[in-house]
Amino acid sequence: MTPELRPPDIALAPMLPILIVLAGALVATVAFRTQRRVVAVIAIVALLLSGFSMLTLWGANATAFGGSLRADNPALGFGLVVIVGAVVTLLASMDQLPRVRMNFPEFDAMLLYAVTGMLLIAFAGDLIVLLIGLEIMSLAGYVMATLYGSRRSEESGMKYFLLGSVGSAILIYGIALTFGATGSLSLAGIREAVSAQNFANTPLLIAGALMMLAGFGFKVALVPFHQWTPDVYHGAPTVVTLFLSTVVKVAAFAGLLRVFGGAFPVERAWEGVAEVLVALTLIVGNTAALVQRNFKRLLAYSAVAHTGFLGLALLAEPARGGAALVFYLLAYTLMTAGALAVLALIQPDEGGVENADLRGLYYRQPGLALALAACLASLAGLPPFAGFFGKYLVFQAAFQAGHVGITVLAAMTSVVALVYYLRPAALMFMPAEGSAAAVRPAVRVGTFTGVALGVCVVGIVLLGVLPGLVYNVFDAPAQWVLASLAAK
Amino acid sequence: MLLIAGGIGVLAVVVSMILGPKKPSRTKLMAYESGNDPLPGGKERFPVHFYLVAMLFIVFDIETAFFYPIAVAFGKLGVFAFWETVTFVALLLVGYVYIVRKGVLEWD
Repeated sequence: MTPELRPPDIALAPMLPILIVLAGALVATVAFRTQRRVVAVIAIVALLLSGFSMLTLWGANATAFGGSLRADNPALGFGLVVIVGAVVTLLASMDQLPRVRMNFPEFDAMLLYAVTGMLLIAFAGDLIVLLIGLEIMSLAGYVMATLYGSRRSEESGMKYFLLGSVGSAILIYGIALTFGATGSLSLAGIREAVSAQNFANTPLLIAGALMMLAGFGFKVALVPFHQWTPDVYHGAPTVVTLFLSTVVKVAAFAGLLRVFGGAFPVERAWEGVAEVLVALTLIVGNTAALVQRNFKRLLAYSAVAHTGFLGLALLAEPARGGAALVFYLLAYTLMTAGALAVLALIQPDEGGVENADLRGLYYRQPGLALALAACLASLAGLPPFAGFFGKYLVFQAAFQAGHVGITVLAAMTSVVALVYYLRPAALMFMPAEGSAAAVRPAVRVGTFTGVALGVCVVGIVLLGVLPGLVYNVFDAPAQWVLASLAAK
Repeated sequence: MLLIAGGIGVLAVVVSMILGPKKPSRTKLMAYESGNDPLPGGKERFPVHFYLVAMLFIVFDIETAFFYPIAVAFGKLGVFAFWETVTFVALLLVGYVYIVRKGVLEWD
């Protein structure tokens, strides 16, 4: 007697954004003898279509596979930020990749596979879907880091692969322990078991939750798990660094919020540990960035530091922190992407530029210098730009949840951040007579890079002046609670 | 329970490490490689073709691993499983097309 096989409830609508990106990835995989430019355009179209299909799903709260895949508003919000970051990456890559002889369609295929995984993470309703998404994303990321044929790029990919695998292994162990303790893999099920105090034994659950925190810590570069970040971001080709440091982080934070804001919102035992990790991240990230001489490496440490600020939003109540997190992630994606896109243009090779070589950039390339200055000011959190409101919202959310000490610490470290962001920014506006940088010829800004930079700069200014445009959409606390509750 | 279970594991390793007799010899210290003498160094160069063949292996390995159970249970599975299988094969096919176009079957 075999039981009847019952097909799961397949609903195509919530899967559509993922399937469109996957279809684009498959086309890019078999697109031989096609110019890479054409493939990149196809990829951008696929991403835009996916984004559009997410907009049509807005507010519908669609689910599939018994709640394993849920396209609720938070998922769509994270998904849209991922799409924005991926489109900017592709635009920047159009002009940049031919220059470094990385002009093959595999880049686009890998990028789209990674985005497929990221959307799975954002849409995940249970831990297995989350894990599969994370693995798809990470495997594609490892390959992208090695694509450039240099020793440093190989080293970067290898380090990323080894440490990423360790992170995944810890995460899987954590998932197994959590499943053992609660008997459920779905986020809603875990939430129910935890809030009803209905689990096998407490140490098992705590160990599981902390291991998941550590596993995600590897992916987002929280401090004791951040060692790979500077080497990988520095060694990878700059366009790939742009992708890894923005979009991958968005997806990993989506997963973190799903698990820790969604499945464990009542059992806040993990919070004390997370608080220590965030505090360490803020201190180490910001002080290490202070002593970097290479601009690309500085941006890598800045990515670590921003993980700390983003982590603050996780400590807050999901209802408030969620909206702040999405806003900050969007702002972070735009400003980091802008800064790295400018770096990709002005660097002599894929190792980035020394800070000192930025001297006098304004007199050679005024447009690029102004765009970079805007991005750096936004990263530092200066008022007319998006970074300011991102920090403000995140601080507010953490403060209101009672995390006063760490909010003060974050405010203090963001003063340190001001120093290392504004030093290169100020150098750009100093005359460069007599230095080696003065003789470097000006680079031509291609159309696509121009569009990418325009999107970033207009985005951070617009979000800085009118933050409500995005924030108000996500502000309703109910949708964040609903996201974590079961819609069985 | 967890402590006892973990403790026994740690104990077994630690005790045998401390009390166990140690008579190292050159052969004993050699890296174990299925009884053969290990190849010198780990920095061997492999032809890139090796990896393409490995990809080919993975494509067909997964396919067979999946097809046997389906073939056995196909009568009971119905239309849904059929289309699932078609989707799966179509995805594998993309991988196959990719490596064939990359020249995995061209030996020279």
